[in-house]
Parts: sequence; structure tokens; C-alpha cells
Amino acid sequence: MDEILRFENITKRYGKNTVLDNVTLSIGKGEVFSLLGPSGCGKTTLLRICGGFEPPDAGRVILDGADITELPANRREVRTVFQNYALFPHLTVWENIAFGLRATHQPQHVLDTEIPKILKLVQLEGFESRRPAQLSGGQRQRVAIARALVNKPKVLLLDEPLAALDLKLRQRMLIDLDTLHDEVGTTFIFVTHDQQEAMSISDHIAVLNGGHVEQIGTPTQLYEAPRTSFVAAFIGDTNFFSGRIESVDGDYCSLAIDAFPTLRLFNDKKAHVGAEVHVSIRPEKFSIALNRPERTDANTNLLEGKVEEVVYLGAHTRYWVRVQDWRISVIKQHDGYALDERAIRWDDTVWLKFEADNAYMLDRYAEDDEELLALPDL
Amino acid sequence: MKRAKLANFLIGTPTFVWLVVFYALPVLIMFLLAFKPVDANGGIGDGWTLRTVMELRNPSYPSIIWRTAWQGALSTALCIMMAVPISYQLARMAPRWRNLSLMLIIVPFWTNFLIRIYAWKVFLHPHGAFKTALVWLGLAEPSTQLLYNEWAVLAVMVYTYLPYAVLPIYAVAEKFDFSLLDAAKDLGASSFYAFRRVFLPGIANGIWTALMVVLIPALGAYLIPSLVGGPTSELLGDKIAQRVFVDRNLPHASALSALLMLAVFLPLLAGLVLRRLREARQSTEAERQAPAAAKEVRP
Amino acid sequence: MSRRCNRNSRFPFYVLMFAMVFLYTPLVMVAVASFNASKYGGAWKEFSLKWYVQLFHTGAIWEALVNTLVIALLATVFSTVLGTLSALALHRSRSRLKGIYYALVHTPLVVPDILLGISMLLLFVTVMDVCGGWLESLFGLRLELGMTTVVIAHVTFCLSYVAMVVLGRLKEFDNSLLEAAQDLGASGLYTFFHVTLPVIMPGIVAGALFAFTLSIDDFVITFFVKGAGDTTLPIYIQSAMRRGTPPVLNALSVIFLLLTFGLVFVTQNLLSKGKSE
Repeated sequence: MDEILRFENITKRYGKNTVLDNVTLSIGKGEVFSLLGPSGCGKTTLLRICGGFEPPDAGRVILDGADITELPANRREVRTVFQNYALFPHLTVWENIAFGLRATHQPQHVLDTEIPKILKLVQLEGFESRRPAQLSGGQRQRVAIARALVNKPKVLLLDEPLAALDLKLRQRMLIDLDTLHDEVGTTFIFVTHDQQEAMSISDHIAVLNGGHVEQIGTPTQLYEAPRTSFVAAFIGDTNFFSGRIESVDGDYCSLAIDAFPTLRLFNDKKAHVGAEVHVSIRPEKFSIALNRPERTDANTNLLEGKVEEVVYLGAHTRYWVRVQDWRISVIKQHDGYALDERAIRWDDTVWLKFEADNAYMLDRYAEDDEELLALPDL
Repeated sequence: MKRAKLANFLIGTPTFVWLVVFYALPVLIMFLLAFKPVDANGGIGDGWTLRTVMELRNPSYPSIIWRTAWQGALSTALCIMMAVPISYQLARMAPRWRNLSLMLIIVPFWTNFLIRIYAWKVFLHPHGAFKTALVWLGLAEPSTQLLYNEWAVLAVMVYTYLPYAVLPIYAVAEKFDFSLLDAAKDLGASSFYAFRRVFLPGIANGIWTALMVVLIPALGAYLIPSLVGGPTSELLGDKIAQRVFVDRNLPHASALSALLMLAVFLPLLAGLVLRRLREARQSTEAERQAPAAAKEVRP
Repeated sequence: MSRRCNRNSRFPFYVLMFAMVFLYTPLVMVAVASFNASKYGGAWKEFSLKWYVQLFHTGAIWEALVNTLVIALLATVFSTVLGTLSALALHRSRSRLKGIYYALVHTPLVVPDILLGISMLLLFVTVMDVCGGWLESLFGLRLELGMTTVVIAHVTFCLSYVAMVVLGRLKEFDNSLLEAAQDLGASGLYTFFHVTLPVIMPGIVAGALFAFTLSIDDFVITFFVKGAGDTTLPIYIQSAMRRGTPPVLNALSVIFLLLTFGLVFVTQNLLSKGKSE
């Protein structure tokens, strides 16, 4: 894939506070790239550096091969959809969209051909003479996108564009955005703190935490193969296990854990005997049953435990199961008619089963990241 | 960045120069002239003197200053005591009636100041309907003088400044969350207790603003006492005008004005400093609590 | 809004009603008296419009009115420009001098009128004293109290009001609009004329209206800095009042009241229309 935008060693400080610490990112032409992270991770600052609203303290921004670090915002071929949309309240929809074309002295015939085209694209025909105050939240957002896209930017920056909308509308707009992206083909850089938004729309995601990049990858890579405990816990939910390698045989190993049964795991990091290892196992990788299930092979793990908490959520149910000293989060999909089954209830003795291949070893583990997990206080 | 700073400097300069020349400089001159002697034909003499300032100890002044202070304080208190229940009522009324009432309160505020005073002169006129009615009811003697005393001054002051007090208090009361009063009553508070301990603290900012916008002009009142007051109800403002227009003693007028200026600005400055100190204390407390709070936040 | 009037005290309602009576009784009495043929309001003689007729034949009032309007127009134009400029400068400034500048713009609002009036009188007198002589000999300029000094004084006290109203509007101004304009390729000047100015325009208009009204209303400051023969409407009313309660003023008051009612009504409707949009 051709590269359209590159951040090289970007560092930004506010006083003593380092907001971005040597960030390097490469974004491919035509893709949807998400900057994902909790508030204060530096994602919005990175976007503002790209838009030209803040200068970086160090590093360069390369757009389509040209260094634009020093270029003022109004001379960059980059457009922003602001979090609050920043529509001009005194101008109509048509005038808002025309603003950029007029400010850059485009001839009238360009306005007359481009604006109807873009209005059709964002499905706002008939709204030309309305003012922003007369529009709904979703319509305002579409005006903001149209206003940014009509200038045919090389990159479109979207700063939490869905944060101001309610849940249902958010899901609809997400699909609309995806369709829009397919039609215009412009590179989208999408800033969000919502991992589901990022997962559902992005080709690639960069997870930011405390001013540095934790991991870059496709949504599936990040979910299935998180490199750090932060990524594992921030994207979806998981269970962390820490232990020491007891024995290695071929591609598999046995992990000894304090006050827990020994686990069979796929040794993807080629760890040696005696090495300390941290593992993430997603809740849905466990299956839960009242009766002891059959082992598939020697690499099947079977754990006996007691149900401590049940949260029924319709499509699936979450269980917290105590196995010796550890509490494990488990998700069961209801692929059958749930009323016909004997439900698993609080205090039931249950069996958990998971295959050695379905766990993933982490490069880096920080105990603080456990805070990100959805754990009930018992 | 440099260019933006220069542009801002150019934008700000004309007004800055204007205000320095026509506001700051005149006030400075006012303080300086208090130390100048007066010459024979009403001009300003040469040299410097403390005589004018000493003359402020003239026995007639303390009573005038005292009257100015209590008239100002009393009219301010009356305005606020009326404005608080009015604002409460306005904030709770149905929007239609609220807008109408608000408009009725604003109209006198926008009506010419002199016309409002004139209306009172007609109202309290010795041959007017009000006086006739009072006499008929036996509440006043035919010889009772309604005009040209300090009570007339007080009534017109309250009349003039009442809208000034209502507007800032209403602005805050409008945003007050009235379910807090229900909550207070739910917890067993009486209506009055809830009003005193929940509503009044809630609108405290508006009351402070009202206090300032009423008390300050009341202390400098000149037109009202000169038109509806009598010789025994003179205020500091009258004296200043008399020194300018009757005696043509500008240094003396300056000394009185400087006194009034200090009387207005010193409490204002003290209030400002107190507020700054309180804010500073609050912000350091907030900072101390911030790290603890930040840990609570989870995405 | 929850309304449980039956359980809430009626006291605030009574205070409001009392205030209405208090505010309007004197005005109503003036209105009634303006149609009374008798010179005093005490006894009703008969309905008459003679005071209105007399009002229209009093030349001095019309002269004063023209003066008032000319002064108000000039003061409004200058104070609106100066006030808006200072509000913009204050809003954008990050300088350490900002506090001083703000105090300079804000404090005239809390200084009693009489002090503004006398201090400006003292300035004009001092300037005439100190450099009146050589200004006249050098440039042929004669400095004296008159319409010019009145306009200068009015600009000075009006501009603070304009600045505060515009500054209030600027505080609500969403700065991301400026970034949006820049993002769309607009230069600084283009942004100012196509975004900032239109958005704060209602504030500027409100400030100008405020300045105009204050200028028309002012008596105290004008009284101190005017020349010997100059009259404005407030000056005329005051001098007429010193001699009692001439019935022409009743008629004048009623016309003023009607104008004010109309103006407040129109602006309120404009404001609420602007809000709902």
C-alpha cells in the first residue's frame, strides 16, 4: 500500500507534561486509520499536529512525500471534522460547504458543480438553506463531513465525530461513514476512545497510551494477538495469568501458576523453561458446562470452579467463575434457545474448557492495566 | 505568532489611548487638584496646599457623609429585599407570564431617568391625587410635605434602582435548580428554611452583583436629592455639584470627589482581593484532590 | 417546570404585585394628568389634549431633541468602534498588561456618574488652563466647553458598555470555528470578516443600542461638561422641573413612555426570535 501520511518521531510537551513521546506512524493511501486510546493518551494532540493547529516540539509530519511540519493550517491539504462540528452558525448549509471553496478563491462554476455533488453524497439535498441550529445532530455531522470533503483533501481527520450522538444514531452513522469512505476513497484518520467504533470501521488501528504507541495492527490482530496487557485489556475484555514455564515439549508448554491448576499453552514466544510469562485469554475462548466435558487432546485444559456472578445480556451471558484463588471471566453465546436449557446459576459447580492454541502470550505486562477490566467487586 | 501579537496591539491601542487620556488622566487630575489652592476668580491657583483637604473636617461634612452612607445602604437593602422574592417568583412563573412581568420591570429601567423622577414629583405633588387621598383618609395633614425630604429621596432611589437589582438576581435565579428546594423539603426542611439555606446561597452571586450595581450609584446620587430632596437632605453628590456650579471652587470639589472615589473603590478592591484569595485557596485544594480523583476515572 | 403553587408561599407573588403597583402608579398618574385640563393632578377638570399641543409648539424642546440625537449618534458610532476594538483585543490578548487594560475598560462602569462628569470637567479646564493659550496662537484652535466635549464624554462612558457586551458575546464564541475556517483554507483576515465579525454582530448591535440609549438618557455627565448655552433633552427637562411640574412635561413623558414600550417590545421579540432560530 502506498503511504500518504507519516509521523516521524513526534514529541509534544505542555510544560513538564509529555503528551506525545517519540511517536512514529505510517498511514496508507485510502485507508481508514484509527487513533484509539483513553482520554489524555495524546490522540487528539496528534490529530491537531496533523491539522496544523499545534506545532510539535520535535519530529516531522510528511504528507504525500512533502514535509508539512511548518505549513500553517490553511495551506495544508488536510481537512478536519471537529468534535463539536464547528459549523458556522451564521451561514446556511450551502454557505458552510462553500466556505472553503470561497476562502481559497475557487470560481463560481466549481461551487455550482461540486456542492450539489457532495450534498447528494451525504444525503442532504433539500437542506441547502437551513442553518446549523435547524439541523439534527446527525445532519450537522454530515454537513461537517461535506464541508471538509468538498475541498478534496488528501487526508480527512475526524476528531471523535460520533461522540456527540446517541447510541443508535452512532451505529447508523458508523455504517454511513463506512459507505461514504468506500465512495470517495479519501484517507480517513479517525480519533476515538471507543474501541468498538475503531474496530468496526478501521483498516488499521494505532492504540495510544500515555503519549506512546502501544501497538499498530488490523482490528483482528489487536484483538487476537495483543502485544501488551494494555491493548489486551483496552480492546475487549480478557483474563490475565502470570506464571513460570515448567516444561516445554515441541510447540507447547506447561505453565505453573500460584494457587491455580497448571495450564497447557501454545508457546508462541518460544519461552524457555523457568521463564516468567504473562498470558491473556479472552472470555469467549472458554466454554462453560455443568457436566465435565471430554478432552479433545492432550492440549485441552479442563478447570473445575464455582460460579460467583452471572450477568445475563440476551445474546450472551457473562459468568465470573472462581477456580482456586483466581476469578475467571467467561462469556457464553446462546446459540440455542436459552429457555430450553438448564441455566447455569450462582454457586453452581461448573467446568471450563479451553484449547492451548487460544491463549496469547504478552510482550509486556503492567499490573495497573487490570484496572481496565470489567471485574465485579466481590 | 509575532504578526498576530502586533495586530492585537494595533487593535487595542486606540481605545487604550482614549481611556488613558479621557478617563485615567482626569481621575489623576481630580486627586491632584485636591492639593491645589483656589484663585480669586474661580480658577486654580499656583503652588500646593493641604488646606482644602483640611477643610473636609468642617463640621457640616460628617453629617452629610453619614447621610449619604445610610441612605445608600438603606435603599440598597430595600431594593435587594424586594428583588429576591421578585426573582424567585419570576423564575417559577409560567414562561408567558414571566416574559410579560419581566418586560414590565424592564420598561421603567429603559425609560428616561429624568422622566421617572418627574413622575414622582407629580405623584407626590402637594396638589396631587395621592396627597389628596391621604388627607381624605386622615393619614396626612393638609400641611404635610411629601416632597423635598429624605424619605422622598429614599423612595425615588428605590424606584430607580429596583430594576438594577432585579436583573442580576433574576439572571442567576433563572438557572437555579428548583428541585433542590423539593429535595430540602423532602428531607424535612420548612419552606422558609429551604429558602434561606438552599435558595439564598444558590443565588449569592446575583445578590453580590446587585449590591454593587445599586450601592455604588446610590452613593454618588446627585440628581435625585437635588430634585426631590430638601436643604436638610443633601448628599455628597449635591455638595460636589454645589462646589462646581455655585462656589466655583474646583479644588474643593476635587477633594470631595476623591473622597467619594475612595469610598467606592476601597471596599470594591477589598472584595476583589478577598475573592481572589478564596479562589486561590479553592484551586489549591482542588489540585490536592485531583490525583486521587484521576485514579477513579476508567474509560 | 414543577409548579406546586398551593404548597409554596404566596409571599413572593405579593411582592411582585406590590413592585408592579410601585413601579407603575407614578407613571399612570402622569399619563392621566397629561390629559387633564387642570394644571394639577389633584382634581379632574376635563379631558384635553392642550398639553400635547403646547408641547409641539415649544421650540426649545425640539432644539434640545435635535442636540440629543446628534450627540447620541456621534457617541454611538465612536463608542461602538472603540468598544468593539478593545473587546477584540482583550479577548485575544495573553499579555500581562491585559489586567490593566481590562481594569481601564471595566472600572468606568462602576464609577458613579458624577465622578466621571467632574473628572472630565477638570481635565478640560486643566487643558484650557495649561495649553489653551499656545494652542490658540499656534493652530487657531479655541478650546471651550460645548458639544465637542459632551460627545467626548459620552464616547468615554458608552464605550465601556459596548466593550462589555461584545466581550460577553466573544466569550460564548466557539474558538473551534476559527480553527475550522483555517482548516478550510481561509486566511486570518478572511476569517475575521467572514466568521468572527458576523458571529459577534448581534453583540455589536446590542452594544450600539445600549450606547445610544445611555447617551440619550444621560444628564449628570452632560451637565458637567456642556457649554453655557447647550441643552439636551434631559438638561431641558431638569431645568423645567426646577420651576415645579409644568404640565407640558406630562405630555412629553407619555410620548417617551410609549416609545420605550414600543422599543422594548420590538427588541424582546427580536431577541426571542433570534434565540429560537
